[in-house]
Amino acid sequence: MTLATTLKDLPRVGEANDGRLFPLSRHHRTQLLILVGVVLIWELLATTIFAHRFVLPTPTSIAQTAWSDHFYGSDLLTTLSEASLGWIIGNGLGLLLAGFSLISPRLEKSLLSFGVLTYAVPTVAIGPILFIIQSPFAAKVTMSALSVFFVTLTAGLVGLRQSSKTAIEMVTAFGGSKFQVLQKVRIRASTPAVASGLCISAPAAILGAIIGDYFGGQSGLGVVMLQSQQQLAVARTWAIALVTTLVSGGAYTLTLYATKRFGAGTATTAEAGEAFLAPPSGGLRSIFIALARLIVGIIAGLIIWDLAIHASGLGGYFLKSPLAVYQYLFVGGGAAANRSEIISAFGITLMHAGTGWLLGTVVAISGAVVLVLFPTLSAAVMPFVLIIRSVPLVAMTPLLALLFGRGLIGITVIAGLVTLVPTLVTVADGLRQVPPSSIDLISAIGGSRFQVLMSVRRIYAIPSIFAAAKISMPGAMLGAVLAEWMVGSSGIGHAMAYDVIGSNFGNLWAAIAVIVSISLIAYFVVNAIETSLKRKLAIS
Amino acid sequence: MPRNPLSRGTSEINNDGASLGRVENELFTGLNTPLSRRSLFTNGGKLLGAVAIAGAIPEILAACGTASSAATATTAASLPQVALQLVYLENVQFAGSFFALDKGYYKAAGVDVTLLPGGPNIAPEPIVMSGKALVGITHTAEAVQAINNGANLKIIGAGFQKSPTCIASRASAPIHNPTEMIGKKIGISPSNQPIWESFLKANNMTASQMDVVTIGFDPTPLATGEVDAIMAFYTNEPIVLKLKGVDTYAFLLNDYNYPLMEDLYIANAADLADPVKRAQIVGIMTGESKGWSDVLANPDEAATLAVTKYGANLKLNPEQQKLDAEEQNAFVADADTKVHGLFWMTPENVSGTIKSLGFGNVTASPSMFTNEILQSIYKGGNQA
Repeated sequence: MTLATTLKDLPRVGEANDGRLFPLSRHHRTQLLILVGVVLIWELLATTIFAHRFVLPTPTSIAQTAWSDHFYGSDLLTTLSEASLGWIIGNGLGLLLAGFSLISPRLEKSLLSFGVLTYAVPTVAIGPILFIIQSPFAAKVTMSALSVFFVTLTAGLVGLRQSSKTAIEMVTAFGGSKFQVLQKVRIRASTPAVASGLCISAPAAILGAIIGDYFGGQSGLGVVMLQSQQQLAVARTWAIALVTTLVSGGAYTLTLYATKRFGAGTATTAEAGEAFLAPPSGGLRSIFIALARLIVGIIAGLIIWDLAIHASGLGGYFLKSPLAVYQYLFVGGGAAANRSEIISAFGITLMHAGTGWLLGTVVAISGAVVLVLFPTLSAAVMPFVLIIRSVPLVAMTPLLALLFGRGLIGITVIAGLVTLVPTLVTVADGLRQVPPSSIDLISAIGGSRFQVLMSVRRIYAIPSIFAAAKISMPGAMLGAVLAEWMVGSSGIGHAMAYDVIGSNFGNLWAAIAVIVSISLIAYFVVNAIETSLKRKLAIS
Repeated sequence: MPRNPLSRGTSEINNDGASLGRVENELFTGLNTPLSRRSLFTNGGKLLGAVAIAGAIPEILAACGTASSAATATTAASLPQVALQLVYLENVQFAGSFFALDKGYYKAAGVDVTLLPGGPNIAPEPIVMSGKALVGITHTAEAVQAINNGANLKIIGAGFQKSPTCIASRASAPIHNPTEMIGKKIGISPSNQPIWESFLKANNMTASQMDVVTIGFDPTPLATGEVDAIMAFYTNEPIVLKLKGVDTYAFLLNDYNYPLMEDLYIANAADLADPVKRAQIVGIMTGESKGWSDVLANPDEAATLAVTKYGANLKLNPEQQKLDAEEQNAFVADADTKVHGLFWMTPENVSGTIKSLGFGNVTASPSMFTNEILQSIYKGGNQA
């Protein structure tokens, strides 16, 4: 089902869709061949090179385990109920906040900064805190809601912005009220973006719930995964990962299908990064304004943080106020040691994330170029890429750790994979966004596909690389932190896991503050570069 | 029969089910009538009152000596609801708690207990401090670090009299003691690094005397021969390996200058000073003690309970759980617990634990440990 319905995304790859749900074409045969080939090679590898290494089980043994474990039905049910509740709450809040931008368009940028703030907070870091103040079920729902909030908020903001000025003017000219403008134009125009936000957030909600399972629980896909890892039940670990992948893909596909049913075609380029392709304006002044907004956002965040802690009425042993974090890092005799501990751990994380991001981006850009140069290959491969996109990181991490180890290589591969898929999709889209007329022109004067790429497509792809970077850089960071936390032996993710266990909550809160600050700064810098680049492009 | 004259709800109840039905009826009619703000408030008030009064039950029960679980089970509706935070997922490591739930030992002791499962990334200490759980089971160094970091906790008992941490080697090439490790390749997972360093210090050894390799938390490297020995949990990795066809030999750190109690019970010191909360803590520990007596007598049934009931969704391996249950009994009961009762912390064990923790620069003091709860359970005897 996943494969078949994801094929509906193919038109964006430039292929005709004749409207049937399962159009049987040459591409499908190719895809089927690839799938069968992969499974056969896997079986072969597992029975030869990887035999008796407790790392790579055969596809047949994975299938057998999944079958005899009843496909983890009850765990699945738990995870899905947590995820769907989180999905509803997170999306509801995201859309509600996006709606505020209707009241005052000026709010929009501030709302975005707030969204980025929530996106930059690693779920694994606030997980332990949620588990202290909430029931395990509620904590998992919250983590799930947090994982989708940002995606839908940005999708909603972009969507509401997308309505064309002429349409609004037309409705107003014919005597339409503000409400009618909203109803007839803006909401209608926003549906594609919102729909794709809802689709992307379906697997994200599942991911959030499963990360919550790693803090404990009686049932859930993450809980049973944790247990099987500890018992060295390798086939089961793979089986659970596979079930998780299928369910995530299924959730994505189902949401896609449902939104289409309701008449909302998803926007083709609604990766969350697209939200930031704001029209360039201003120059140096706009950078200052953005900086001011960032600072206001941070101050608002600090105030909310402080108020929440006072409101909770819980003692200062595990809840640390902004002031306490400041003192931990900058006041008193131990502050220097505290700082250097966090900086050295963070340095390792930056190396993991940076190497992973660089590798992921290089592979993604080369991949996108190849896909655009060879549309046939693209049609055959793209569905698999889209499937990989919906594989929850948390399901992949234990498998990658088994295959690549728990050191630098393993963590880097994970951070790289987080980067790879969104960048590939976004850059491939960017390369294709060339007006057909310019391609025709070059072809007419005898230019090859390669020349089209070098002369025109390259220019159009540059903004998309930066758009992707804005999402994939924090993504690589979160991926590295998550991997360090789950399977690593160093870095800030690992340090945070031990802070919780060793009741070193001062360090935990300081680490969260540092991660969020660095992510925000990185975001701001990339945003500024992108804006100035786009301005240059627009001028030239 | 224990009758609580303070509570209307409980005094009405006899040992028969009919009266339970009556209470249920009362509860449900209360719920079925349309809820106005006022009725919600008064019903809520009643419940709160019942909960507060029920706090007095354990003391009455304790005064009566042993209580019939059938009688008290019917009073469940008015028992105080409390939680016990586990340090890991619900496997046979917590079999005593499963028996206590299954056989009604907690309820007989006057508390309605919910088990909160833990995980590798959760710390029981803040959960106990926040009041979400009344008692927690946790690791030794972690409990002491929490206290040192400002948590007002007391250690009120030890689930394991000695730590199951061991050095496991292949049975075909056994390493019998610390000195035999010299010149060998030893695999240590990052989480075991602190205890490994402390252990070497305790035995006047240094890491340079052997080839220390960082490994993950699974025992694969020992199975594949990548390393000669790993630091492991006696009740875990050796059993996992045995079931995979790899026989191992293991020696305990506890037997070589590193005595350490494990799976400690912790409670908020403020709760210990509060008569109502204290009675509830006594209730939980009474249930634990009875439950673990059952585990000692019947490890197979303990494993079955973990696999089929409490850890049913975890896909536990029945064989592994059974072996685990058998092995772990040696850590729960020893000569000291025969004299003083389960979980008792002798001065020797406390000072040994403090000394061992000191090798890892974790500073503990005797005042962090107290047998006062166990004292009021056993009253000089050895049975709850």
